[in-house]
Order: sequence, then structure tokens, then C-alpha cells
Amino acid sequence: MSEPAISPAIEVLIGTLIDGRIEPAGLATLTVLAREHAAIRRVLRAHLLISEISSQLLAPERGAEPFFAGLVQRQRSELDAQLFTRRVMRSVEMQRGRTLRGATRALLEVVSLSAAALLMLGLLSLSTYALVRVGAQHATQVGRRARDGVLTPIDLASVLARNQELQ
Amino acid sequence: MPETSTTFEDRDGRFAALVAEHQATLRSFVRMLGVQPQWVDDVSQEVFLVAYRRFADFDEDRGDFHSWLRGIARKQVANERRREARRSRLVQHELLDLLAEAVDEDQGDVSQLPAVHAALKGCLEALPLHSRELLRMRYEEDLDAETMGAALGREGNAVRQSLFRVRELLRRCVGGKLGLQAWS
Repeated sequence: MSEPAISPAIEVLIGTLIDGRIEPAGLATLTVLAREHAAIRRVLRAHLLISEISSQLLAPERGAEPFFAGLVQRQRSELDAQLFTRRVMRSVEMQRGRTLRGATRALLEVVSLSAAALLMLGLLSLSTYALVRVGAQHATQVGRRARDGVLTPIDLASVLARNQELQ
Repeated sequence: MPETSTTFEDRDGRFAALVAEHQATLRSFVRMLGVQPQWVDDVSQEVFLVAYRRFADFDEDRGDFHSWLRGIARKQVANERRREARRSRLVQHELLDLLAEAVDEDQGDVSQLPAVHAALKGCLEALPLHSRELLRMRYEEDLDAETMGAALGREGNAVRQSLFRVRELLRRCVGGKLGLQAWS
């Protein structure tokens, strides 16, 4: 296929692509032309390149320094984001550790309280048992002494008190 | 540039030097892949960020830094295309394929990018005053063709055509300086 000269129409199409907003129909035409002609692809590519370099050289915001500044800014944001993530993870882990320690402490407190309560209950049971046992022995002895007719004044007083309670 | 070296010196001061050396040509390459002009710096910075993260993988003995960067750039642009099929940080997709193919079919241009940059600088300075003024309005003032036309008393299309012809002058000038057949 012979290479077409770059006609004014093609100039406008390439110009609109690079310096304006190309309409879908114009873009479709340019795409067909670029597909069919290597020369148009080469020109298009060269114009993109020249446009870019011209912009870098002439536009103050496209110079090397603003580019560096932007890159450094993004680099920092990325590092900050990593640090932030690390910090959050650390605090989540600490929180988890704290919760675990708290739960252990609470469990230990419950266990020690329960042990104390059990001990108290045991002691209470023992003392109740002892009192009942002593009371029963005493009643048996008093009964035995009453049967033998050798009640002491104390026995008598306790029997009277007991009778009074029952009434 | 103290800020740059401060940020990178902990990890690898050399990376900053490589960014300084290759940023301009990388941006040109990204534009050649069809990235819209307003997104060229953004995409190029992403390429450097990826390169920085993978800098340990870069093997100097197996290739030069710029071709490694170009590989990353192509992947970034391809990913961008997949991810944002409907958003237009890129020019129309079919045309993008053609531009990518054009990069492959003529590697001469790509390998000469630093030389093209240097030559173009000289060619810009040698332009006639009215042509330089057109480029200044377009790039320095960032005016579109319609606004430029209104200021110059011309139609937008006529301005676009003039800009095209100025770039043609530059293309031939660079081609002549570097002996690039495709540019002459």
C-alpha cells in the first residue's frame, strides 16, 4: 500500500487528538488510517513525543522538579500508609494481648474468690458440725445424769432454758 | 534536590540518581504509549514507585535501567487499560494498540529517546518567533486551541493545524540532527 501524504484533513485529525477533544467519528477515521499506513503511525507517534517533550520543556509544572516533588510526595504517602498500617496492626495486637491478660486476671480473681468462698463454707460446715456434735454430747450427758439423779445446777439451768425455748 | 535525596538515601541513594536521569525519557515513552497528557506524570510516577519497590530485583548485568522501566511502564498501561476500560486516562483503545505496536515496530526511536530530548531542545530554540509563541501559549499557558484562536483571531482548527506544522518542523529538525530516517 502506498504511503499517503499527510493531508490537511489528517493534520487536523492528529492535531485534534493531541491538542483537543477528538470526536468518536474522527477517532475512528484516524484509527483506520493509522492501522493501514505505517507512515501515519510514525507521524502520530513522533507528534505525541514532540508534544510531550515540548510540554516538559515549556510548562513550568511539567519540569523535572515538580515531577520529583510529586514522586517524593507519593513515596512519602506510601511509606506513611505502610507505617500507619503497621501501627494499627500493632495496636490491634496489643489490644488483643491486653484483652487476653484481662481475661486471665479476671479468671484468676474468680478462681481465688471461689477458693476463699469454698474454704469459708468448709470452715462453717465444720464449726456447725462441731457445735451440733458438742450439743448432742452435752444433751446425752445431761440425760444420762438426769437418769442417774446426779443433775448439776448448770444442767438444770440448761434444761429449763431449753424447755422455755420449746414453749 | 535535597528532598529527593533525603527520601531515598536510606534505601538506596542510587535510585534517586536514576530517577533524575530517566524521568524525562520515561514520561515521553509513556506518552508514546497513548496515555493522555494530563495523566503522563501520574502514570510515570507510578512506574517509578513500582520500580522502587522492586529495585532489589533489578539486575544491572542483564539490562539497562531504562528498558527495565519501559517494561514496567507497558505493564502499568496495560493494567490501567484493563482496570479502567471506561475511564479515559488513555486515548481510545484501538488506537492504543496501534501505538503500542508502533513502539515495537520501531525500537530505534525508543533507544534514541535521550538524544531526541536533547536535539528537540536545540530545535525549539531555533524556531521562528511566531512558532515559539504558539508553543508557549499551548504548553506554558496551557491554553486549548479554541482559546488560542480567540486570542489570535483564528479558528480553533486553524490553530491546531498550525501547531501540527510547528511540530512537523521540529520533527524534521530532530530527524536531520540525529539522522533518523523515519523523522525526516
